Amino acid sequence: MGLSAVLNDESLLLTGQQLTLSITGGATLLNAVSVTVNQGELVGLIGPNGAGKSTLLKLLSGVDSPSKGCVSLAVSGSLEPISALSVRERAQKMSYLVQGAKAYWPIEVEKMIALGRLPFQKWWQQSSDYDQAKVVRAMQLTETLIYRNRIVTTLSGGEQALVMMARVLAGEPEVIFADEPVATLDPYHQLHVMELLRAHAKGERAAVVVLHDLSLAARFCDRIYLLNDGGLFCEGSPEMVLSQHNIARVYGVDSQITRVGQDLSVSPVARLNNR
Amino acid sequence: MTVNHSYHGVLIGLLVAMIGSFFADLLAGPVSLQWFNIWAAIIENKASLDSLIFFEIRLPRAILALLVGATLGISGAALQGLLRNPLAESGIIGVSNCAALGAVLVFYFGFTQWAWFALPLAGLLGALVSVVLIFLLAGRSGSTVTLILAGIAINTIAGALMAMALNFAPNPYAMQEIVFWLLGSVANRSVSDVLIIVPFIVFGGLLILSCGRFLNALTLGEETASSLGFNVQVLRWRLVVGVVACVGAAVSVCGNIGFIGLVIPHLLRPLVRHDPQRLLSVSAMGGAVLLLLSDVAVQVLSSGGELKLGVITSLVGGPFFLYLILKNRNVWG
Amino acid sequence: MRAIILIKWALVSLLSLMSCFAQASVPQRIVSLSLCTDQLLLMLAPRQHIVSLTRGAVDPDLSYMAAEANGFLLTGGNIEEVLPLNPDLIVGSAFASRDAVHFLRQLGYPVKLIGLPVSIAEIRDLLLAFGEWVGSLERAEQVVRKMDWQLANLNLQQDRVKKTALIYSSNGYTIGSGTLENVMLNAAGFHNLAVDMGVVGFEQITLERVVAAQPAFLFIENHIDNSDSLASQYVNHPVLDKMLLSKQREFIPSRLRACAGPMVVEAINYLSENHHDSKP
Repeated sequence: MGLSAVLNDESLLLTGQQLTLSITGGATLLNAVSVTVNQGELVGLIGPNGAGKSTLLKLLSGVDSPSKGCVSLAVSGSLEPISALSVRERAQKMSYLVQGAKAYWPIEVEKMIALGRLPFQKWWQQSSDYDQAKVVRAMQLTETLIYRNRIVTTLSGGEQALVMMARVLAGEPEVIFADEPVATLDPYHQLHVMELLRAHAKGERAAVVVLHDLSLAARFCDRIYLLNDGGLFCEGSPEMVLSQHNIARVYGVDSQITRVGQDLSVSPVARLNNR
Repeated sequence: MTVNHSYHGVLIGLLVAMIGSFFADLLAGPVSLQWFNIWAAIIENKASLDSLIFFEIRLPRAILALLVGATLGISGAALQGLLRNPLAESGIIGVSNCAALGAVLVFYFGFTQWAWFALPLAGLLGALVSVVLIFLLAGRSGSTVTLILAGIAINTIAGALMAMALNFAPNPYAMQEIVFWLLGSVANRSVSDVLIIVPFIVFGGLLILSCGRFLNALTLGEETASSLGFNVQVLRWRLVVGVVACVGAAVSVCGNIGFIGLVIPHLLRPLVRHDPQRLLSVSAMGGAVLLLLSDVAVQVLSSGGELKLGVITSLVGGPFFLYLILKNRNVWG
Repeated sequence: MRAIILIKWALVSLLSLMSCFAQASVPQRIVSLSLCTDQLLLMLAPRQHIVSLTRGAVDPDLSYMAAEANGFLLTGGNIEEVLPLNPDLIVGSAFASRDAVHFLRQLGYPVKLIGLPVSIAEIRDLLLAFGEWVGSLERAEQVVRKMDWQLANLNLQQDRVKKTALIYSSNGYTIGSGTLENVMLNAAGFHNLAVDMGVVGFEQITLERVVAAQPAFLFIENHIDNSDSLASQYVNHPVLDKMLLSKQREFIPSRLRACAGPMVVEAINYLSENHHDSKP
């Protein structure tokens, strides 16, 4: 929840301008979408399956490069295109949490979280005490200290999600990009993860999250971008974006939107025929 | 930190084992040597029968066993880290047989005279072709089944092409020698065989080791590794070039010695707690130890008639492979 | 008087009749299926009785009788090529294709096979038996007599202590007791170290044992010079050149030892020349 932030140049952290991605074969996954992220914002990317949310997230975080358009990050007061940054610098400032994040080898939790410190270590360096402290702090934030010696692959889905968040937080990035971080979690862990993202996106930091759950998006995001078919449908505060009309147009469902205190609650009710 | 201590302990232990088995291999052979004579040969440069046998026959054999064993161990660990699959290994996915094919084409058709590095280069190029094929067929994080099937296909084709090449080779012995290429051996090699592959193995080994951190990052997948500051495209190719350089050279001189790259990383992984970077150096030493000991076994078991080294490693590795499959049947789709 | 003439005429007729029969039992169209029978034919049988030889017969590297083999029809030694020639005797080696031999016998062709002699006595027996098969027993006896005479007159320097020798061949094979090669080595005045090592027939030995044996003469046999194979890497291993106490020599050329026959004398001569040779 939050008021729609006034675009203030000094607080601009990340912009993506006219981002387009076409793949070989001619299909266009994303068409001229522009995004801005300010300091202290939790930005949500929502839309139906195949709308291009994950694609946009990967372009913003630098994991993929756009066919057209440019992503810029505020570095010491001015905006730099992220392609101009060194790979190392980019990795230190931006952290990406992949959809369905998992570990391929059964390593210890603490070791896995320590991987988040890799961008800060030169090739000859092993993990330093400083790195170790950051790892412990990340585990404290995510309340995963009790799992530190467990094997990652033996944890439950919810515990793994928290541990993956800890890995991201260990790097203390300026911007966190999370692709559906709560999709398979129970309500308790869903709220926990969203709270962690919300707590991170304060001060000079920010977070961009792809979500399916519209109520969660309404509750936690400062601003929302609603995508459809590779293009931007609309953006703004949750109240502005999450209207019955917009949801019907984009998702093809009739929904019930209620206010419970400060929070907006969005419930899909029935499918419509116009889609 | 205790974690580091135990890792250093493992390294030291393996180093000691490697040196010990190296000397064991030097001692093993049908003729019993007078060590005094060898000592005299080193100090006073006095040649004798014993020094001749030692320096021209036993030393090259032991050095080759060490280098090739280390190569197979480290490349197995590297491939498993890259493909994120514990069944990846240069023999199983077809890299070794393609390297052998390259070597066969150069060796039997007279191209070894072209340059001193012609033979190991041919092995390298053969290995490179197979890795490209594996990526095309199985993708980078393909399922185990796809990977194994791709490996079977490549192995079969490479084996058939090898047989055909040997059939058409001008030399009448060529066809029988397919056994060497498919099973491998370090016997009857000379110092020059060792020298031509050392640059490739050192180069390849260093390239692989330089990708250690990348392998650690790959624990979380390629996209995360990219976001952690690793240029995935470049590093993947660097790792591949490292693997094909050392495996290609090793196979071009010693044939396809199988299963070391599968057994060693699997056995040693618990010792390094699944750390892919640490597994590299540990597997190199472990592979050297295993191959050296296998060679000692060959010397002890066959007095005169040669038991091919690859027979021993296959006898050990084959059942191990089966055991791995059975143990993890439900895990791999 | 008339009776005597009649008896003479009868005797002559009887004799010529008998010689007709005798000639009829001598093969007129002989086909050879292997290199060794090629050479025996060329040595013993009348040229006009030979219908075909194998391709190896004209190869000067393989065949002792290469020059004499010119002008004959050459086959690959298989059934398809042989049957249309309508042979009345087929000769081959016992190690040749058994299926071909079996098939030909079933069709009713007489097939005679030679074995592998491992001594001079066996060579004699072979020559005589072969001579009988092709109807040239006298000629065979001549050849045997000549061979025996040459053997007896070999100018051999018999040292009191025989020089040691070892044969080392492609793929690391050496030749031990029970072989013709061993007989030739002994006849040429050498002591075959392989026999001491317990080698019987053709066996592989490791390079180390070759070096450790330190033979006075190391006979290298590299079958193929012009193309590479792993087999030749054994005989090309650098350690052999460093065996300073051993003189390396070429073993007997193929044409003298691929097949058994009177050329065994020449083979022994070839070996014994190394004795007198002062080449390093």
